[in-house]
Amino acid sequence: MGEGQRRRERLARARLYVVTGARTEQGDLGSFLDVILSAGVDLIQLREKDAEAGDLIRWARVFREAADRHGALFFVNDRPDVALAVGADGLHLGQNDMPVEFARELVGPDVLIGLSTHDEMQLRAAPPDADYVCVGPVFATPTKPGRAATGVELVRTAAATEARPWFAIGGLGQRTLADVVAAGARRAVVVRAVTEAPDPAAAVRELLAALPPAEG
Amino acid sequence: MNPRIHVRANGRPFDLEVGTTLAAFIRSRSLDPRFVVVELNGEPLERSTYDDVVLAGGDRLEVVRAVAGG
Repeated sequence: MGEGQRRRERLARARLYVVTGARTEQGDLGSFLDVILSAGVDLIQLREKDAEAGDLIRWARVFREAADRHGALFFVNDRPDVALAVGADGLHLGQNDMPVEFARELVGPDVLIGLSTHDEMQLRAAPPDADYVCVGPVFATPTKPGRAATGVELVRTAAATEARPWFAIGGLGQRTLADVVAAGARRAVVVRAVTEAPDPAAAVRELLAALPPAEG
Repeated sequence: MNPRIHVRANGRPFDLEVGTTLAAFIRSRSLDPRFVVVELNGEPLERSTYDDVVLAGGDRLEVVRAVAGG
């Protein structure tokens, strides 16, 4: 089985995706990743928008090793060069990052590509080269100030129309996830609900309990 | 039809749109978020979080008007 196929099959079974920075303030990146991956997180993404390549690559190696220890997938935000340098499983792109088609040419067929979408038009326009899409922010979130919440309408649209794996994102937490699942979500991306949780492992277990079982 | 959630505030049931923030709910009760104290499921909340807290089905709220003096 090729590397791309292995990654896509792992993605298809994924339910919970955690996006985090490098935790330079806490200084616990490796142990934090081990804790949340042990608790069952399927995907981890390194997102440090303002960091330089050298720092990103150092941090990304920690993500790569942690994901390997737990059979999880590791995505790099925004930077195809960094994703290639560290052998990431995938690259996550926003609407105003490098277009998916160009990124595909750079990273080749075996590195997965994810794309953020914020409304129905963007969702429908997501190129076939995107292996997954995210829809949101479903709820208001201080992680993306100034971006209007989409509400659960976009979740319902994705549930009705999207064939590839897709994740609800934006302000999701232990309390609110069930309402998003009721609207049709099977997978979720979280940030603060895990990164700022007093007990991240417990937070992961509660979030997984609120999500439907894996497909397939 | 949009999915709805059911919450209780001061013991009374309310039927809300999914995604309603605590601040929006307080305003919908003709209260000013700056002048109320809120407990969510038994936990007191910082006033600065009211805009970020999205209510979920089954939440229990206690909303108390803050009164100056004593």
